[in-house]
Amino acid sequence: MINIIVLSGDYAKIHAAAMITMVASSLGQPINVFVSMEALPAFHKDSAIRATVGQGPVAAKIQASGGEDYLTLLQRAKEFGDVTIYACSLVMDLHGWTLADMAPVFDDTLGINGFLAKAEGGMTLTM
Amino acid sequence: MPMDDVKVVDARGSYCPGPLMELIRIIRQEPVGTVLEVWSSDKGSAKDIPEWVKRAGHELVATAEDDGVYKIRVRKAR
Repeated sequence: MINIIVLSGDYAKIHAAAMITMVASSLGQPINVFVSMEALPAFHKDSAIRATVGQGPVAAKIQASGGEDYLTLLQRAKEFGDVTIYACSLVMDLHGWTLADMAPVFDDTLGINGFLAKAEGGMTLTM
Repeated sequence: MPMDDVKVVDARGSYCPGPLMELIRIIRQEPVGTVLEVWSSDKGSAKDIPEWVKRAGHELVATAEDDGVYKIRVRKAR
C-alpha cells in the first residue's frame, strides 16, 4: 500500500504525485491519495481555478511538451489498478466546494483522521 | 522474429512517462505471449521502460537504438 499526501500548490509536485500514482498502480500497488491544502485548487473542474497553482520552469516545460496532464495521469492510474483519491474535507469546507465542483478523479472527501486510518501500515509520501 | 508478429507502439515525440503509459495501456489489452516493441525518442524512457517490464513480470526481449530512436521489445508474460 502506498499513500500519497499532496499538499503543495506547485504544478510540478502535483504532476510528480500523479506520475508516481500511475506507475505504482500499473505495478499492482494499491494507492490512496489525499489532496489537501494548496494542492486542492489544482483539482477544481474550472480550469481558471486550476491555473492559479504555482508553476516553475519545469512545470512550464511539462505543459509545453504536450503530454498528458496530472488529471489524465490519475484517471489512467485508476484504470490500471486500485487507486482511491480523497479530497480533504477541511479545505473543501473552507472553499465552500463539494465533489460536484471538482474534476472527476475523487472517490470521496475525507478528514485527516480518516486518511491516517486508511494509511496505516503502508508507505506514505508527502508532496 | 518477423516484424509482422510484433506490435509496434510508436511513441516517438512523446516525453516520459508518455511512452511507458502507452506500453502499459496497450499491453493490458493484449493476450499473454504478445510481443510489443516501443519506439521512443525519449532517452529517459529507454531506461525506465525496461525497469517497469522487469517489475511488472514481463519479458524484456531486446533493446536497441536506431538513429536516435530507442526500440524496446517486450513479451507479455502474465
